[in-house]
Amino acid sequence: MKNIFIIARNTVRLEIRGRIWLALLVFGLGYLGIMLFLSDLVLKELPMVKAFALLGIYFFNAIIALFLGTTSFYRDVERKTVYFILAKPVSRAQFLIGKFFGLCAVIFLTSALLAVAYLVVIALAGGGFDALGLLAILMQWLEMSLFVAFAMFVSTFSSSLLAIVYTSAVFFLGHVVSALVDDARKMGIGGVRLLFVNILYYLFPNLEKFNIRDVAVHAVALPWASFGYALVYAVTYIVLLLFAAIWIFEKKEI
Amino acid sequence: MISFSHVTKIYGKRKKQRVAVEDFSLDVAAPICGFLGQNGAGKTTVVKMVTGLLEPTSGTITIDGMPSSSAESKQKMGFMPETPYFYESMTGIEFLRFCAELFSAGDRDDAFLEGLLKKAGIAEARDYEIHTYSKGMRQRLGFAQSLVNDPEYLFLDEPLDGLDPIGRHDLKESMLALKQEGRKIFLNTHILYDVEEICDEVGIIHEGKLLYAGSVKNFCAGRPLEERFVEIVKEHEKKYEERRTKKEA
Amino acid sequence: MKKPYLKIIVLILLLVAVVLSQVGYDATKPTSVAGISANIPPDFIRTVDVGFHASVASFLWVGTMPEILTAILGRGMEYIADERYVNAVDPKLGYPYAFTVITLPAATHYAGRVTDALAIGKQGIENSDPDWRIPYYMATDYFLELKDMKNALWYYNLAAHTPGIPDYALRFSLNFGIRSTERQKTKDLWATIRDSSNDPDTKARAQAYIDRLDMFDYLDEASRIYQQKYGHVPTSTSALVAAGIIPIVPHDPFGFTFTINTDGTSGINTTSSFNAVVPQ
Repeated sequence: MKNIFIIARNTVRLEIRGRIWLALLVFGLGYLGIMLFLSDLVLKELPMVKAFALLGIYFFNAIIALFLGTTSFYRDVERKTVYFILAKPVSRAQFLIGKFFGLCAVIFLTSALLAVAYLVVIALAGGGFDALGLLAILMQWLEMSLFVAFAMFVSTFSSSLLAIVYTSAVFFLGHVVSALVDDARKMGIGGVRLLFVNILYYLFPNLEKFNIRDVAVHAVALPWASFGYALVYAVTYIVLLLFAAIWIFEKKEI
Repeated sequence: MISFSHVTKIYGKRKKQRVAVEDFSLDVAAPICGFLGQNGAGKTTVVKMVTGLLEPTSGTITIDGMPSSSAESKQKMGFMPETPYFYESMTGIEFLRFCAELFSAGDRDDAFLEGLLKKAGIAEARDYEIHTYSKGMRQRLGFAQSLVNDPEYLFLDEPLDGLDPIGRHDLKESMLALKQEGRKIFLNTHILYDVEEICDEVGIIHEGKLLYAGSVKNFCAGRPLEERFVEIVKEHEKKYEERRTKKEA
Repeated sequence: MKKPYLKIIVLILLLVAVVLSQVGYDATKPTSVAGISANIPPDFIRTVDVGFHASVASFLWVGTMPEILTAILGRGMEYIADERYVNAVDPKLGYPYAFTVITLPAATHYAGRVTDALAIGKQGIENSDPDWRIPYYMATDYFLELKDMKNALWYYNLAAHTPGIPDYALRFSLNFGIRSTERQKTKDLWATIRDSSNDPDTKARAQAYIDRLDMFDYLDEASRIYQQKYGHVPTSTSALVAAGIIPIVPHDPFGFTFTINTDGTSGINTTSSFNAVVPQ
């Protein structure tokens, strides 16, 4: 456990020193600043300010997660920096899990900074303290953690570029597939086609359940049961992906 | 003692297999053992197997009777990889701190770590980020980090590569000093002169096979090491060719 | 965990746990669909969709269309708002217009079902990429819902002039209203269109339809003479020539083949292929 924490802490230190992370964070903060301007010019309603602000936070976090998830671990293995670590009493599992927690911590830090900016923007737009918005950002962070776990899993067996492609495709599918299944059922599509879509639905990360932005934007009641299931889903899926990643990594010739 | 027992390492699967190390058996008791071979002979593969970076396809490697890849063995081990790659945005002292923390002995204080940097000759660069280091400085840092846990056994893969003459001299002096302290050093190199100068024993590996293991003096028998090395390699190649021809016939 | 089969079992158990939590989520998630937020101005969407107007509009349409099949009867007004929203994001996307024109009239409880459908259709003809389905379905709506033959004629004519119209639709469009029982009315309507329009092309087109309808009258008269002479309906237009009643079989300016129906009236041969010549 101690080694996991040390590697995680070191990962946070390294990634925060990275210029790309800083640039994305600055862009994210800049985007939220623009929200103040837009809320007067174009978007007259508080729900719209919230919608676009939350979208911006999500968008920047997604880019950071994609970048970190597909490069951080892969880079350590390809450049053989991992030799220093794995020659010490650190197992491959500890290294991978430590990396994962480190990357999640970086995204949490990004989310926290953007959340502070978000609260300021909403307060200035007349929305007071937006607790539901914070919850939506927390769920976004959970989604990004699952995203990072998937990216790391793919990085154990493919190059950085391919990992970006696979992860991006799954990211897209993860949001679209639940709507597709709903629409297919409504249209009465069945048989093999629906079976195929259902397999995708259950097998690939289903990310739409972490989207409670509508709840925050429209200030409706939070469906606590489905919220709970989403948490369980995230934890279980992350464990599954990390388990599979460790299994592959332990067999990898480095 | 480091023991290799019938260790084989095969890369790849089925038709694309490559035998990197074949039926390698060796007991290393000498303070400084030089592991000599040409490029691609299997030296790095052997070191990576000892340090747990690779798993042997068959056979066992032990250190004082414990599997070399176990956490207990790794606590006693220091490793310097060939052409070390670091986390470039870390400083020298940060990197050593990070490495030290990964051992169960816990944090080493900065005074100890600075001592290592001094021993390696890069104390003045302690607070510089590693991406500013020269190749020689990186080699020295790689050597310093192999000592953070005060190891009994040191595995150094081409440690003198890329060092200037002063650096080479200093590092060799350090190795001899470590020998005096009772540590065991397993040194991978293809530089015959270095083996002659500091090694007590030599293991000669060629195409994954151990051709000789024993004292340097006995191996040379009064002749230059280079001459003996070329002789033993050619002998092996000749025998291999004869066996292959016989098989085909 | 060295034994691979144990790892496989763990993986399977984790996957089962994932599936079960998904099932649990599906069972508890809120059922109301957020739908298209009409609060976000479509112009804004067009601004921020980085040129992907068609993609975004299509995506919005995919979200809207299933509503037709399950809930349109209760969602007339909301559907219209959604459909117009899609049009606003990408006015050139033809399918939403066509789909609305043909399906909205089915929402029988909704008072504006036909007028709104036709209004959307007109917008589609004006804005979208050429799509023969829009005027074709409008003509059908005019004819079936409003019994407005004049507009039906006009829009069938428009459909016939739209690139990409398939043969079956073209055949129908060009030959709408040629039956003897409605031909005079059709001629009168084309005459009204010709006389009320200031556009020379429209006048010429209407005249072309009238001239063609005169040919059907000509063949009807020849068939009547033939029946008087021989006591039975002529088997084909060639029989009229053979009997000396007409000098030659007239050439259909619209590219079809004239024929004599079993009741002795003239029509077009629907079984043979044709090279349609659409009046300009």
